[in-house]
Amino acid sequence: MMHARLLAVLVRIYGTALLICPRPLRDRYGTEMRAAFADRCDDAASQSIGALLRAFARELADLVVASIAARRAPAATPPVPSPRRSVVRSIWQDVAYAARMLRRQPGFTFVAVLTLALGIGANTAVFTVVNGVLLRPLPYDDPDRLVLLLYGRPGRITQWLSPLNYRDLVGQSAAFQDAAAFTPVTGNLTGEGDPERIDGASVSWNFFSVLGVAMREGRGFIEAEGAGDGDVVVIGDGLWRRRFGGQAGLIGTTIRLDGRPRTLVGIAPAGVALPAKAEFWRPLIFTPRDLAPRSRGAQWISAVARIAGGGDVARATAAVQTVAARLAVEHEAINGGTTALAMPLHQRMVQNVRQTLLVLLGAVGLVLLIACVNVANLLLARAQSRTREVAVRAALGAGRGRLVAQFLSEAILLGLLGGAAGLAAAYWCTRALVALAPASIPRLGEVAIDLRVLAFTFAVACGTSVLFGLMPALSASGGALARVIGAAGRGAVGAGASRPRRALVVCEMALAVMLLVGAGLLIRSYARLQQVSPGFDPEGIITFNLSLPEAKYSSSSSIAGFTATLLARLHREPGVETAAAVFGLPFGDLSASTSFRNPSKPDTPDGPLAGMRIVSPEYFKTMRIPLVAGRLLDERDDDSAPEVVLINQQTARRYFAGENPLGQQIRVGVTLAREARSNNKTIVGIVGDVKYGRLDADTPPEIYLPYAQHAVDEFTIAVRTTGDPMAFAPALRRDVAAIDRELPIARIEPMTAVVGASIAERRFTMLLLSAFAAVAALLAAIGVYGVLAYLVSQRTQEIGVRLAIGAAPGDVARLFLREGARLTVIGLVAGFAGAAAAARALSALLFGVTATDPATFGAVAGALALVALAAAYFPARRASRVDPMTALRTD
Amino acid sequence: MQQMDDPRSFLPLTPQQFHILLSLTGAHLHGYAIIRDVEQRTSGALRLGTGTLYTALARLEALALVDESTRRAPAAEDDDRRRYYRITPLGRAVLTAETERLESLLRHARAKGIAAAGRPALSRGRS
Repeated sequence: MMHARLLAVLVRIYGTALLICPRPLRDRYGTEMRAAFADRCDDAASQSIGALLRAFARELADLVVASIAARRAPAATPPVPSPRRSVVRSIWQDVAYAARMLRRQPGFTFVAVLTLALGIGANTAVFTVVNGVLLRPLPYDDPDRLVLLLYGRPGRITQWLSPLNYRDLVGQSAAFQDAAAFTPVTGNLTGEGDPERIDGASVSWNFFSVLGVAMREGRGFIEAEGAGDGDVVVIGDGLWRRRFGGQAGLIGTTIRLDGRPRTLVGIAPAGVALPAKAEFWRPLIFTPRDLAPRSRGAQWISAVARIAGGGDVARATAAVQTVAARLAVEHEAINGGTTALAMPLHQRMVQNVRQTLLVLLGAVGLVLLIACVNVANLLLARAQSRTREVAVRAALGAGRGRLVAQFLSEAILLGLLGGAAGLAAAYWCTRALVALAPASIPRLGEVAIDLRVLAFTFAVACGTSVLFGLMPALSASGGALARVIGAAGRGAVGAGASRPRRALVVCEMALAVMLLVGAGLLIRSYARLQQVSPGFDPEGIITFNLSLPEAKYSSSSSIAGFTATLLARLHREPGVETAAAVFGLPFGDLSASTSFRNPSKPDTPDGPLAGMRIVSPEYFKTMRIPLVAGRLLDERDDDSAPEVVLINQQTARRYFAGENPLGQQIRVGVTLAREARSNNKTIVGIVGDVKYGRLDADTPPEIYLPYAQHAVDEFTIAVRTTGDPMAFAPALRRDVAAIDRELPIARIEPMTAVVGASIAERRFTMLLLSAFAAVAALLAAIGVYGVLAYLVSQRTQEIGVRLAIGAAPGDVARLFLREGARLTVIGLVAGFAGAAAAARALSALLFGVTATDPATFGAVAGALALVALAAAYFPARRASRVDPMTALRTD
Repeated sequence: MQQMDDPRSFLPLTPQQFHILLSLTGAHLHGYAIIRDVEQRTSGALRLGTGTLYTALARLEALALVDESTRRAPAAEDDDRRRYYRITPLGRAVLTAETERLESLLRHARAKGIAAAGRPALSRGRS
């Protein structure tokens, strides 16, 4: 299947490349040529992908040559050799000669192509990901006109709206053609196979038409279904393939979701993922309570809107801002001080990974530059060893242009070979990248090699060829040439001829320094981050998520009963120390925040806001969160007892500065349990601060409510064990199944993994950048080695003379070591200047270190100096062992 | 009937043109079929690229050595993007003339004792 797609892309490229043909030829034969090309590729593809890429490269080269030939000698002129035809012939000769030269030196060609393939392959792989995530348009109709509405007070703007605010924002601004609300939900899919917990969303009935999605099969929702008529569901392509084997004819059948039968009306095409990871969609139905005036503050839905024709994002933002300003005045108590804005959907999705991906692209670009410099160095060395050949050709009348053309055609041939090999490498690298990438990068499923990637690779290959080809060509055809002709060889090659090569090595060093500094800063950030205490002890804890379906657990008492029974069973398991239920596990995916206030004071829009956690009494013991003051929750805080609440230190510091919070009463704005108690709650204790979403952010204010008084139906179970936590997974599954056989367990994983996932993206960036830096350092070392080895071989006679007149071998070695050190120091200084500038781009990814961290710079300087010294050692040693007599006799 | 041009005025043919005319002798072929025919006949020594083939074909057509055939493959394996080509009587005459020219060249070479059996050894070492 991949081959077929690749083939189609190649044919399209070829079709585009036909534009270089003379018009008459293209008009008459274009269609046929495409067909013949497709046939050729077909045949090649049946052998291997390598054969296909080779055939592709050969065909493109052939097209270029043939088109030039056709332009030089139009078909209408009689077949008389004209002077113009000789130009064509000379181009052909250059290419053929270049191919012969490359074939004659397989070692050189192999190293050069491998270096380029490494650089181009890594670039193509990273670009493929950047393309799939950042560049490729979303799989919706006219996606640039889709926006998400963001709402809140300045500094607290989120994508969450209340149904009433959503209705007013969309209804009162004329900027939108249509809009739909959605909110993420999870569902328990039962039926054939194991029960499975899947992510999905409740969506307005017109959701799919707002996005402009053409269903793969079936249809989207209709208006009646949005009013509650019929239990219907749309599933995603991924779920369809995974769970239903991609079979046809499923439309109209029933699937069991949360214990309720739902009729499958549509299958969405691949790539439709709003909200992220959603695999099913069901109609969103607002209850009268959702639309009651007092629910205006309950923000739980998101809104996607399509900008009306002629509008743009700025105008849409202006429109919703106007409405939001009006709502802020009309509903001062709830909406006071809020504003709204429209953000392009794609921008919102990739907001968090954009910086990371661009940094990686920049870094991998530097690796390619270094690879180019290395190949340029190789070419230069060869050019210098070929000076006699060049001199003879020049003497026989080859013009400077002709010599440049010949070197360039060799370079371009190398570049194309490297590009083709790089493309093959990228094919595998991309798979590896996608497999290794953290789940937090959106749209990874859409990452694939497409036309844009191929064009990118081709451009990079050609661009780099010119870059590394031009310098040797110019230097070989210019000054060096004259020198060679003038002085017939003997010991005449001095510092002048090697100056370009030294300059290249310095460049290489500088680029490597930049990469090493970048990688070093990220490594230090990561290490710092790992030292951050999350405020609890994740070792030994296993967690899993449960979601009790409403059909079976409709009352708070049935929910609380289930949880109590389960916790009791878990406690009895051997090896289990404690077990607790929690809504809002740190680094987990369930969270809520709420406003709260002192009941004796009026409600103000800028009042206190805190993260809300609902926990069973054993939670603090399980997580090892310390008690700071007052008491913890216990079994007595049940449904019939007076309502109590715990706060963390941050809440105490921020909202109860200078007073004793213990014994004070608060009112909490949001309720999560179905039958909520919303009386005043007494603060009975203060517990230690815990990091929630991320290790690199400050701890937010938090309040803890007792689970027995707020029985939520979706929660996490955390179990502290005495051994390897994952070894307890089967026992936990057994315990859950013993109470409810149909209840699926989601995300069963050790707490350390939950915390680790939060820094997985940093880890990914750090590892990739380190790999790039290591390659860069290696290439730079090879560069230093190459230049010094070359210098030694060029100066053998001079060394011989020095040794013959009494220099110690150590002096000779020192001479070359000093040369190596000089190159390294200049490279380091230039690199540090570059790194200091480039590190600014990294600053958003750093934690606990500054972009100019002296320790990192120092370590890089030390490491690179060491590597360069090692690279210089071998040539220097060889120089010191030169036998004077042999040296003087060599030609 | 129009007077036919002197076939010898078209000589010499390029190896590509020669092989294309050879492929079309006795068969009406489409572009890729010509490429494959040439490749097989020369055991892979001459691989025409698509671009090279069609520039050569364009030239041969302009010179009226080749024209388009109306005969097509059986519908099952036909593809309407393809066109089929055949050699014209002039083309055949040119091919014959070129073969004569090459033969006479060969005769002269043989008369001087030059045989195609072994290639002269090329010096491959570095200077």
